[in-house]
Amino acid sequence: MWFWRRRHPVSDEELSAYVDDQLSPADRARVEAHLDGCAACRDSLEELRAVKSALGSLPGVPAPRSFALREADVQPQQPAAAGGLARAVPLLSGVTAAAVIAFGVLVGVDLRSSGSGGAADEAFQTSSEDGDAVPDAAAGGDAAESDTRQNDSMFNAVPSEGAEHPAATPGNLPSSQAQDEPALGVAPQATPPGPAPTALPRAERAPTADVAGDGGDDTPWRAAEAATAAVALAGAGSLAFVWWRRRA
Amino acid sequence: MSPRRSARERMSALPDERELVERSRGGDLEAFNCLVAAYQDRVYNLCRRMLGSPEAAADATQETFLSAYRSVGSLRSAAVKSWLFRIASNACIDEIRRHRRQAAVSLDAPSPDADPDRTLDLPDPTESPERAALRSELSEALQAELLRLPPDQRLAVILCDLQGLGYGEIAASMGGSVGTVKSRISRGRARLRERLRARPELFGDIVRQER
Repeated sequence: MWFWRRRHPVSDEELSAYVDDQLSPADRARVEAHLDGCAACRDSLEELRAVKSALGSLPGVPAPRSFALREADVQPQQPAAAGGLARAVPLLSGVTAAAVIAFGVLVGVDLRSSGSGGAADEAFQTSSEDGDAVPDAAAGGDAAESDTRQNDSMFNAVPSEGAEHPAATPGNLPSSQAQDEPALGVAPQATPPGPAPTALPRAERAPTADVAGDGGDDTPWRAAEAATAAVALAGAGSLAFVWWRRRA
Repeated sequence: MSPRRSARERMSALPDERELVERSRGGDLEAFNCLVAAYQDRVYNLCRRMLGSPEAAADATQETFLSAYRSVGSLRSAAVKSWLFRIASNACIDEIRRHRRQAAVSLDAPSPDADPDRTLDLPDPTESPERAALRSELSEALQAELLRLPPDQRLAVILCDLQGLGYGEIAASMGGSVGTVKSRISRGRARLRERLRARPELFGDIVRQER
């Protein structure tokens, strides 16, 4: 076959383009000059024309029904659902990140306080700026992918930061979590981003005495850890779902 | 009027298409549906020949027009045909990728069922029954062989030979350069030619007509 191609100055592709009248005038002249003296190419040309003609003669199939769009097809809900999903992502990311941090802090403090009795008090007397900055950074990301990566890095960073962040206390967290979970469950509806960002600042200002005083009773502590873990997992799962839906 | 219009013959320019586009951009669904009515046969045919099955073609057609309505705001020119074909082409390629396994089934076993619409091939009273049967069989064979082409070659050949687009329009619909279009059409036709050479009783007749 290579031999054929080498000897022939006109390629199959040029013949095909010639059939479609898509050659430049110079190329067309060259092809026509060649065709004059080459029976094989003339046969080839006829076959290509026959293929084109046969395809062009295929019966046109009329549309089986009308594809006119109905109002219901293009209701704002549909784009708004997509928009609602898009709006929910920063909220989901913020809530997930907050829950991850809170979980990490709780576990960190828990481990430290089980190691040395008074450490829990110190953990809660640090500056408030760090706690504010992190959820805002988390809520800033739009893409679900970058948010889950951010969540991962926060997971890793948390143990070292755990001792420095004023955590949402067990007393506060369950209530904010109760507000957040309905929002996670109905992602397409826009929910006011009130609960998540304000949960932490409120937690900072809350008296921490009940935490320090829980030396003998672990149950609220465990409950808080379980709750934050559940929120974090639910948030991460929802984000993954949104990301998967966008890919599909 | 010939009772049998080939797909390529369905080329009519729509008056005040530009106005319909403008009104569609403003959310006028009725205006958009005028465009749908004008192009749905062509879009459906593209999908039908690309995907083989009427159901898949209907889904892809619906998806095309939904997607078009949602993105009509970004349509800059009045080149509605290329724009719709681009959306339809993407919808078909997406459908093929998503259902690779189903497409492979139709690739492996092309059967008369691959073209159940042959009953829509309206009889031409001037044609002898033998010719009609032959033509019908050729249509089936062609559709089956189209489905065996790689999707990009299939799309290029369909847009060129069934929809009558020029290479530039095809490049706009498929993405890529005119050179790529030229190459895909050439390779697609070469494959079809090889397949049809094995059916001289069908193919030989058409070749003789070209002489």
